[in-house]
Amino acid sequence: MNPDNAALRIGVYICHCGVNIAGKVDVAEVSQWAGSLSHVAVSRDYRFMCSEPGQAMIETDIRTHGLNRVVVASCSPRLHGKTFMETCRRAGINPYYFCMASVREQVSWVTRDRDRATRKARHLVAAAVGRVKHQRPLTAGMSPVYPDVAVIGGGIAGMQAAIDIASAGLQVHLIEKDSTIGGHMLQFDKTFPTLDCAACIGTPKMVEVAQNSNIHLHTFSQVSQVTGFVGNFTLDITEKPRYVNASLCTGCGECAAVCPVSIPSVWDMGLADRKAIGRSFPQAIPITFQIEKSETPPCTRTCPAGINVQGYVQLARQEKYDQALALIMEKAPFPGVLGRVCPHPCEGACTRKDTDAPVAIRLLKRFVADMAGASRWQVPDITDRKEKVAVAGAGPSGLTAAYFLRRFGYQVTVFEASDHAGGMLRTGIPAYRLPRDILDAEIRHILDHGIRFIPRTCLGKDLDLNALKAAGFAAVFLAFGAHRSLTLGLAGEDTLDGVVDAVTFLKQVSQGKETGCRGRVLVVGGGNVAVDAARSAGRIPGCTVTLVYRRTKDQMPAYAEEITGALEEGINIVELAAPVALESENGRVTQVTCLKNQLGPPDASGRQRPVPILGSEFLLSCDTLIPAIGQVPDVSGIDTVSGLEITADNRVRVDAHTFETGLPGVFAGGDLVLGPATVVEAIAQGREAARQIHAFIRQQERSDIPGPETGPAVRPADAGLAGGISPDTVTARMADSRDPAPETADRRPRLEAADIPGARAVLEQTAGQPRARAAWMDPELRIQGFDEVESCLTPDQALAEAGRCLNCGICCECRACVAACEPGAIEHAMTARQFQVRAGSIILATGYDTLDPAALTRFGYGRYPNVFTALEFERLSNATGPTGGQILMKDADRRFTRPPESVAIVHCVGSRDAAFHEYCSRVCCMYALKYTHLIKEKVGHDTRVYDFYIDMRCFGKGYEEFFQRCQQEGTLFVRGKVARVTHEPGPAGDGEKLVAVAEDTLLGEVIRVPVDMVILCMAMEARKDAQAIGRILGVNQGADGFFLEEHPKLGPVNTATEGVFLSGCCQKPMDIPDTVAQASGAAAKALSLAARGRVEIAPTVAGIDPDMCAGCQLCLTLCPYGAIEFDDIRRVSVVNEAKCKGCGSCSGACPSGAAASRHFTRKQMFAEISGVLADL
Amino acid sequence: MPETVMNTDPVSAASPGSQGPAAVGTDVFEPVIIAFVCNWCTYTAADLAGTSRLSYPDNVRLVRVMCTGMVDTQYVIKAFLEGADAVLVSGCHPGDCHYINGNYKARRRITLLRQILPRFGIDAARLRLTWIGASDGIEFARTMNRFVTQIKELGPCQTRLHAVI
Amino acid sequence: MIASLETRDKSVTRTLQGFFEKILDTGAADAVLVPSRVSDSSFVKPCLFTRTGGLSRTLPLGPGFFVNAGPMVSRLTRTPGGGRMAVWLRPCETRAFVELTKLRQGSRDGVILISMDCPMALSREDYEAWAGKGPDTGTVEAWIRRVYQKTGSREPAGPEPGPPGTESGIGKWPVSRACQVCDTPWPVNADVSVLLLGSDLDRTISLRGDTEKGDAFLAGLELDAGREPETRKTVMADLETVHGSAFQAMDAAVQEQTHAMDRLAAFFSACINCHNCRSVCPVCYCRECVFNTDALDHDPGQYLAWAGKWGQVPLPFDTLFYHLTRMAHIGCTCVGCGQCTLACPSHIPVADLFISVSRAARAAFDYVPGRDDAEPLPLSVFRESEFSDTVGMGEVP
Repeated sequence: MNPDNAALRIGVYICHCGVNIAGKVDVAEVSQWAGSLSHVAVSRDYRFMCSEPGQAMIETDIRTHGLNRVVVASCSPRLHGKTFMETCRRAGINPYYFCMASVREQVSWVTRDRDRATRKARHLVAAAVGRVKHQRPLTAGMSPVYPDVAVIGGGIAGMQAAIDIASAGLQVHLIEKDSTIGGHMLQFDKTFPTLDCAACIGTPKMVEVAQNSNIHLHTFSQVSQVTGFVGNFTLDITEKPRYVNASLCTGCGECAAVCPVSIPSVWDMGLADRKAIGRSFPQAIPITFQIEKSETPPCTRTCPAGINVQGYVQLARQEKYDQALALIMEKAPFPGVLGRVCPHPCEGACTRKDTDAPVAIRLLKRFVADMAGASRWQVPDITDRKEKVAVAGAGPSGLTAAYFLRRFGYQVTVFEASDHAGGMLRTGIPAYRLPRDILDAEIRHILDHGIRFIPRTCLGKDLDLNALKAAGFAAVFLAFGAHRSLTLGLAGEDTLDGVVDAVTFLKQVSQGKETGCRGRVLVVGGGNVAVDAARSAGRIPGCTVTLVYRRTKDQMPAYAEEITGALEEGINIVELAAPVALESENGRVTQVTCLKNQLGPPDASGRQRPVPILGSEFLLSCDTLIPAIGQVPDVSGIDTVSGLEITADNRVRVDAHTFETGLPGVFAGGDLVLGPATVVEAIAQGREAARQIHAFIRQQERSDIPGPETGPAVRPADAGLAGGISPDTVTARMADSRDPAPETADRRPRLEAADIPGARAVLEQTAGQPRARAAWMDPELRIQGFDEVESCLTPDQALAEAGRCLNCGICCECRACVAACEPGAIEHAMTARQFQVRAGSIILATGYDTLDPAALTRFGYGRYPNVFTALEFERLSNATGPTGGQILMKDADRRFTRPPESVAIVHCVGSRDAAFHEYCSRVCCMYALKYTHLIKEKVGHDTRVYDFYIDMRCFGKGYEEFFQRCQQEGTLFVRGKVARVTHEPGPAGDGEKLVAVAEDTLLGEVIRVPVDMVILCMAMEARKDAQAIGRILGVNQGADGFFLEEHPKLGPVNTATEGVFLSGCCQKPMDIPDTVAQASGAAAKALSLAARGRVEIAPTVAGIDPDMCAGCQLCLTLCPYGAIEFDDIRRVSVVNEAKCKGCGSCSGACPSGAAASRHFTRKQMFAEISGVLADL
Repeated sequence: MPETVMNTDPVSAASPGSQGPAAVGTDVFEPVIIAFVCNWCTYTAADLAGTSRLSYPDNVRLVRVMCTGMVDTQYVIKAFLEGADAVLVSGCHPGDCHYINGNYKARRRITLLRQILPRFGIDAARLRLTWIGASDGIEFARTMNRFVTQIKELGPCQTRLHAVI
Repeated sequence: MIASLETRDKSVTRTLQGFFEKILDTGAADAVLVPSRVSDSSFVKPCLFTRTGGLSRTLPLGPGFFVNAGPMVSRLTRTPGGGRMAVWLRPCETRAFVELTKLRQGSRDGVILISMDCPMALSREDYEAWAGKGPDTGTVEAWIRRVYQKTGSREPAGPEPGPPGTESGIGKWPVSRACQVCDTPWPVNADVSVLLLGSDLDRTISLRGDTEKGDAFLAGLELDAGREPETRKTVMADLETVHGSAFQAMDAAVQEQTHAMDRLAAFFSACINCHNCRSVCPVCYCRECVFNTDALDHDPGQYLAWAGKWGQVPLPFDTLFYHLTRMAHIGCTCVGCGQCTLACPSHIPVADLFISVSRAARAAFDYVPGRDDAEPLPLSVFRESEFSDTVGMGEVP
């Protein structure tokens, strides 16, 4: 029992609130009745308790009647609770001896019947009186206020607040998610009603923000988390990468001038383009440029060598062939070769494939290589390192490794078993596909880097690994490929004349030696080697060639274009057949017995397994038989070396990540590791191996292998692909080396053109433009010799083709900007930055979005080019906009050409409209008027301007006058909402006219107004991310989505969370004057907090009675703030009052009641419950 | 018999939500409903309903708590034993709780009570938990109307009629 | 592992006493807690033995169950340093202890939980009659045989089923209702389980290690290898059915008795607010009950106000408030030991009500007390999306 019950003296005060309460509640009766309650010493009713005399009444009573508890029955405690607590404090009793009954919001305003209202009022008063008896005196703790202030949002509201606070001498953190401050206001042209230009009054504010040393500007940054409480918040901030170093960028714009990629400018509402590197507008602050990047484009992601495809395609489009070539050479020193023989997995991944056909990437690569002409390539200056590295095998893999190792500075020696460098490129691929001059030139360029080339020296025969070690080589790279043909395993295969394996045959052909190939030639196999052999044989006078394949034609692993070529050249293909025996006459093959196959169940490769049909033998007579059923590495010579692991199919096993063999310092790659694979894979391995060897020699941790200088790896998402080929790719190959190379594993969902900013424009421009095809030599001529079959694209073809690229990655990372930037500010490897700021208070100034017009099809937006949203019109009319400030219409091809003769302005689009937003957007009437004036002024007074309004709301200072002025300027005001916008052929067939259909509610009739241009006054609405931000800061949204203020009238800048204030349109639609005023208001709130220096920490926290606590720690597990600690000595839980926010989770869970909210004790709650349920 | 049960006032009989047929004796049954509402969401919604003058039956009486997470099962039991015909606990929508997750804790406690009380004839429909956000003034009034209607149909809770305490 | 004890001269009791001696002799534990007669009284209490001397007075398998030893063990283990103990607990005592460890009231460290197929319990009066002047070996062994040795499904072990309130039990002794309806009268989640149901007690007693600790403990005692009695599973199945139907019957009866608040008031009409049920309740762990705090001493005027409301109010006050609050507090953790009924001076079948309520309550959270140390108490956790049907005005989604 409350010890001082006897001494309890309660004063009860019933407020009339004018007639608000008294109109429904018999206040006198309630007051009189309350007087009869036990311990009630005084009970009064008064017109306005919150008024000065009302409060004075309470104070006097406290003093004269010695009251020690006070109950006020009036409005909501959320409105005046604090007021009356202060009253008590002033009169000398503890403010927590006060209790409030809400008889206005909860009774008089919501109850119809007077008696019932009065009775309910009694119950609430009874409850309050009952409760207050048990309330305890509480003393607020004090906590210091951290003086800095954080402002979130850099629009006019945020800027103004920041400036006001900074000019008071406090530090401000201004956090803006966009790359520039300024916000919507800076997109505007003029501002109503004074018509001063937004930039003229806005940019000075921006400059002030930038120059004020007390303002710390964090642009391109977003708040991810807020912890702490009023006076002491901590904000976690993430700064997105600009890829441009703000401290170095001078804003000169050279980068944008050279950037090949254009995307629609968000700042210009998509009416104009900007470059992938650019900034919103010239006056942007900071002036720093910024690069728009998306994820790595699929082409680059798919390229085994990780060549920046989008990059060189874009450079080719700009005819910058040398840069394009340099970009390719970064990853692969064989552009001309790849441009001819690469299987181009990139084209399979090309996003353009989904709309029509993929970009002809291989042909473009060849075009670039041919245009840049290997002969003209420069060898860079190389800073030498002393270490020596040996490369065994001068194929694509070995030469690539040598090339990059040399560029790292090593002394590289390449040993080659044959006479010439080139490996399979030379001996395997016929000249009609890969002309020798091209190959020679590229190899020469590689060797010209200062690489020692030693021919006719075969590792394992002429020298061994120990010798190399002895000779002081720090590392060896084994890459002597897969040159041994597999045999059919038929009797006589290796003894009879007229049988020659494909590898040998092709080698002889390429070396111009006598092949002994004649007459009816039978090639067995379906891969590229088989087709190469067949087509080569076809070029030997007097040979007729037949290709025998065990599966069907469409299952041949050879590239489709090769097979087409072969057929064109009269090569006959026998499918579903397998040789089983050879017939011969005097030592030379004459016939091959074959079995027919049928397709059985799928095998490991997923293709149907060929099954021989018994008794289906048939004969194919031939003079020459060329088996071409695959190759394996020839490891004779190294297979005995201990430490080298050789797989069943003769491949050397390496660490999938480091390329190192069992022998330290000995690395291997290319076909020797993969088995017969593609050129591009061999090159990829060569380069990656070089990087690994580099790392090995520098004794680096295997784990932190350097990422490639540029390209995909700068995107963290693609770490797996760093350096072009990923470990899993290598292992993947090891699984099935004989099947056509599967595309690089990529589990990401396919990119869609719709997701790519620039794609729409590209697709429009290149619609119906077919994928480029290179001319092929006439088959008749082809077979005369070994001249190249495929010719290069013409420059026009190439430019057009490059123009079809959708720029999936936005920035193509061609690094033209890097070259153009003198200060060297561009950092493609930049990543997001996380940091924290502390602040005593936070001002939310996150602004608004405009309604998405896509929803309003009836106004023809998106369907008719000359229906604009308000913001689009602002840009149109703005001197820094797409038209340089001329108000022009789009012509048929969407170019801005002639000015409109008539314009319709439509008010309340999406506002005052139950289907979208019920509220009034507040500013539309006025900016609509502004538009009427601007059109008259800029386009000419004869322009017919129709302003369709519902009601004109010109409430502000000078607004009505502005309305008058615009009326005098001859704008036709139509009272009525436009129902829809349609179109009709214009008079004299001069294109089409839009027609605004509306009801003129003054005439009471439907009117159809033909116009050239329609402007939609879109509703302002809450930011899309308002909810997310609200949750981060503990600020609720109203039904309209805007942030909820503490009180619509008396707390418009406060929020439910102490120390968080609202400013500008994040609270409700506002015009600039209101916004600026409210910004200063918010600043004042923040300043007053800081000036006070200390905040009361509400004492309404929880406490745990140590004598009752059993130490079960339920409260501890449930506390959302970790505010409860366990005292191991006393074995009780203890509340850390600094962390406790008073939610009462602990008291709700504590069975003994040891844990209790100080101002919501069980006793208080029970008393209140008994009160509201009392029988009155 | 308690005056709150007896009611012959024609106006109030016609007041919203009173069309429930259930009646005690000859008098229209006027339930007493106690609502524990959280300071940040539902109480704010109630204020909004007030400022928007959305009338709802006077049968509902609010008890303000800081968070539904502080609502002890004892409060609900006590309310019933003292003659409440129904109890409402109402807080913020999931994710909006001013104290992060108080509403989830409340949900478990109410789930437990809805297992226990019905065994003693206190229909589960007499104990409700709702989420009503700070801006849902209309939703608040609607809920109150519906709740009163439901309880009028259920008739008075035994604890109203007998001193079982 | 399963070990076995050879039955000493046909006495299970003596055999187990020997087992306890061995524990102390081998130093497998510093102390054992076993129900034992206090001096020459016939009543038993859990006693903590550190020397083998008094063990002859222990009654490990008698029907005497006047204190739930769960809280005792929690007292012994609340803070570390209590030494290594072996404690002999009935299944419901084990459950209680496990729940208490979740409430940080005790710890399994340094204590070996030895539990057994349950010997059932008698009410105080029946026990007196049964035990006379301290039960002689014959009586005790007879009880044990009776409880455990009925095998086969024809004649199930344990009490014969009988409608609640009527005589039913072992021989002429009605075992307490809580035991009749117990859903797990065998060890769950103990360290060592003594497997008695269906075994030939004249020959061997099997002990099964159920935790690493338990296995190690048994291994340390170097006992013979043993195995689970073949018929035990069948007997358990039988018991489950019997107890299951007994519970159904009791549940129905209780609900019939208390389906409305005034009936509930009648049920507790004899309650004198002595709160004994709380003091003996093993899972009522509060140091100070909220009903002893000032939260519930009302202003004098308040009583009149209440009386005025209904015309009269019964005193002492808050009787139902007290019992309903306990239901809310222990609804999910009640281990069904029946102590509350045994302790009620007014013979109110408190346990009947609490058991039937708790079965419903814990089902809602799919919670079983004592089952698993890792199972969190239902009100100590929550998930973002769960119990969606608790929320809303009952409109069908």
